[in-house]
Amino acid sequence: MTDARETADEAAARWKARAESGTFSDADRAALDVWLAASADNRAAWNSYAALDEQLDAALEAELLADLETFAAAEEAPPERPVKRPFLWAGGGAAVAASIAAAFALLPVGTASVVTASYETPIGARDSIALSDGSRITLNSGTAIEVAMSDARRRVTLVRGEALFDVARNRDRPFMVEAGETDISVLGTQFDVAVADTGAQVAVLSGVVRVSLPAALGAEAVLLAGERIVSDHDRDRLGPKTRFDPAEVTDWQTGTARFVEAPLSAVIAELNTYREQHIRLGSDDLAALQVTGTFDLDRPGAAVAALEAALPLRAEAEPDGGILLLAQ
Amino acid sequence: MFRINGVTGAAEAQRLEAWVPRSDDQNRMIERAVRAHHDVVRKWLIGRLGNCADADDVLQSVYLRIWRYAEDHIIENPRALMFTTAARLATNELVRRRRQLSRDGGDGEQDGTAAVEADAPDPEQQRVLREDVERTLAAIGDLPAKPRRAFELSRFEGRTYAEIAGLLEVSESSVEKYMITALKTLRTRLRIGESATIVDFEAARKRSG
Repeated sequence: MTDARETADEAAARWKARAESGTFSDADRAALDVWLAASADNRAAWNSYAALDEQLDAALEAELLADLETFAAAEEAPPERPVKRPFLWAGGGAAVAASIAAAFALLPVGTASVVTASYETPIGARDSIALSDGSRITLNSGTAIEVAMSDARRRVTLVRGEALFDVARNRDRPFMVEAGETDISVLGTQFDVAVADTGAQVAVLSGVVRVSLPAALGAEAVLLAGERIVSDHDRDRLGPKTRFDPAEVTDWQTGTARFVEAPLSAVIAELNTYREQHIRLGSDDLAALQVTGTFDLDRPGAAVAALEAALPLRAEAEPDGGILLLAQ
Repeated sequence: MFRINGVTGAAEAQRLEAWVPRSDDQNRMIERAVRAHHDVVRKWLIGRLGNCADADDVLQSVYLRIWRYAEDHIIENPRALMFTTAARLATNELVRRRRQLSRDGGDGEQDGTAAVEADAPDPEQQRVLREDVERTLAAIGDLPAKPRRAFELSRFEGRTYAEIAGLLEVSESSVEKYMITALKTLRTRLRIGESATIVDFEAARKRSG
């Protein structure tokens, strides 16, 4: 390739990227036309990107079709509830020593088989599970999930806690997550789900995810990357879609929590997710104190010391191992 | 549903006579499929296109396409026809938006029934197409993380660079740089422009103008 040709290729890529920015004006277009008229090398380079578009659009169409198939499959099929089995450790939580454990069972369901497994992390631990289909689930502290894999479907029930899903793309096997009364269905994507008694929060990092409340007709939303939604299980409705900071949602994976002007009550609630013995506030006045900072989740004690240093607070140890925060 | 337009001559009438019963069944089958999948396809279109108005426009075109196609084709799988048509027209809509962004008056009316008729390539063509698509998707998947995210948001979700900059927490000029990287890498990786079959842009423009 000659230098002139290489320069034209570089310039064509720049023009192409400019043209799709959303701020390309008629004047810009005229300038592009002048550039195109200037040399055959320019036109050849530009045309090669037009040819690339054709190929990329064919791929887009295939993606959209696969996405529609998955969406429709999830929509049309009645949810296949995995056989509910008690957790191996239910009731005997204190005896859980391993950071993670799993129980497998092979259950014949009609002609197809469903492989189910349960996973759990104790308070203060995180772990990551690789599923047989190539998907990965990272469990936050105090989280329990049930996985049911069949040839037709991949279904995960988030029993409690929070998990980050990195779903391997498979158009023939929709991936569904059940978080309390909230259903989430996806094709292949990365998203975070946290479930509580009152509802679930779904945050999408890449791809497209559909969230629905089967109990409430029409309560559903399609989330794109960067969007988050909170469902209300008491009132059977979905909140509005909001944007979020991806780092904030996935911080827990690396053992840190970041807060920007967050109320102290929210910080304490987050830290308590990682501690068996809870941190409590001595008075309600303290709840609204603003906190900005990054905390090491693996060392909640250090976080308490940092709060003491930054805010007009002092910490007192309680007999049960908990910590009481009091105004200074 | 069944239209008889401009039919002249006994032979034509006879042909129609023989054709009507099957076509009538077919229309009923299509109607059933449309009724069965309308809600799902509409919801999906709203999710992908971001608003009800565009979704309803596209859905309307999907139906028109299918009816037109059914006039002289046997439909074996109406659901598949509806889905492929919806995917095709949703793609066209995203491409139209991109052209609008780049002030490209372009080829404009490139749909017509051709798109639906092209929906049934022979198995060999299908295999080649599938391989092309897989190669393309693999190439996109291999892009460095940030250019890949920027590219997907721009091309697959139709976002502007300003929106992408907000999502990725970078400047708009960074998004533009990611897009340049993505486009250059994809073009090189997919070896586009290396064969000698490229039509000269200016010449093609003059011909069509």
